[in-house]
Amino acid sequence: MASGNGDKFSGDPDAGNGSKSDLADFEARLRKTQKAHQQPVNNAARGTAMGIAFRLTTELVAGIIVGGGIGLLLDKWLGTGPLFLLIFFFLGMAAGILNVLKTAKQLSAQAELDAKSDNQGS
Amino acid sequence: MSEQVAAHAAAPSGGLAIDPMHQFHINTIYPIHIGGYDVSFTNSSLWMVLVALAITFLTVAGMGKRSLVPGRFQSVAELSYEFVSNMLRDNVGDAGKRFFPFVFTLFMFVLFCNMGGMLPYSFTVTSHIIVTFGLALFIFLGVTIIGFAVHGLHFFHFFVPKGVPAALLPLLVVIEVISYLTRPISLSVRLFANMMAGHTMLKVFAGFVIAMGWMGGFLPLAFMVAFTGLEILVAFLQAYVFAILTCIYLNDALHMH
Repeated sequence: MASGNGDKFSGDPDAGNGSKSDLADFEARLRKTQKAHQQPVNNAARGTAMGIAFRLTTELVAGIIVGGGIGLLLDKWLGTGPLFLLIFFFLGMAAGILNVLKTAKQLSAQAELDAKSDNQGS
Repeated sequence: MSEQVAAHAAAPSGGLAIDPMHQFHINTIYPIHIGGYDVSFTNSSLWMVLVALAITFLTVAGMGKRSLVPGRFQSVAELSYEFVSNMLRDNVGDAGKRFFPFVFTLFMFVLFCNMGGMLPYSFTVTSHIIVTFGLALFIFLGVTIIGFAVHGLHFFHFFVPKGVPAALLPLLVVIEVISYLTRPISLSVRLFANMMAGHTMLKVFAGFVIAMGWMGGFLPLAFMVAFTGLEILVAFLQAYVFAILTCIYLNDALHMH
């Protein structure tokens, strides 16, 4: 990925191989320094338990809405009573729970990363 | 809204008749009809235009001087640039640089709409689900198209979880597809519900201040001061969440698992 983008964003179209590796080296050092100097500005924004709780709830509800919506449309289209509504309602629930698990995993991974970088910083 | 509060204050018997939803009314400013569709210029459109002008002014006028040591104005412009740039780099990586203009515009638009809603007498554009759903649907379609453009038909593997017995696969693929389709809904509902709930709460408590008068009105007033602070935090937080989820979806489309 990085190699593919190297020449696109280097800004210097004449850059040869040597300067490209220089650039990569420079980028690596720059990132390291940036990370060392980074202040935990985002933590406040990421935090607030209410925000997290709200995020998880909407995931759950959205799953049910989409599942129920698909079921209703299929029933209307095929004229099959509440059959597909019932099936897709439960599938939607499953999808909602899946989304909550994915989000929770993401959040905990993020929290771990933050904790790690905090420890390194101090 | 405030005129209404004043009107009810004058008539003390109707204290509870204050309508906290009045602030969300769409008023036509300049009626336009094209082909049977009502595309009038409303107060919502007016605030979108104001927000776009404010962002343009901040970035163009802020960076006008290009001084090495930035002043206040230039600092704000540079900070917002770096904030979005870091967000994109952390969540998408170098491949995300191409999408910086889009994510920056999106973040600034949602942020300014949310913050503009905190001004007295203003209209909160993002408190209408159709606005947030329009944004979310655009992101959803765009990300899906990017996914297919980058990976071709291989993008369908996104819906196939790894290490699952073949018997369960059809069921899980359907669940994964539904879970993918929930993205625009959860994205838009989150922003809209947060903005609308917060602003309704503010107006309800403002009604309490009037209804309780000089005797007990200070309690809800104190609460409102604290709650206004929280609302400003929510306005920023929701813009941030909206932008960061766009980044995460972009990352999924570009790098799949």
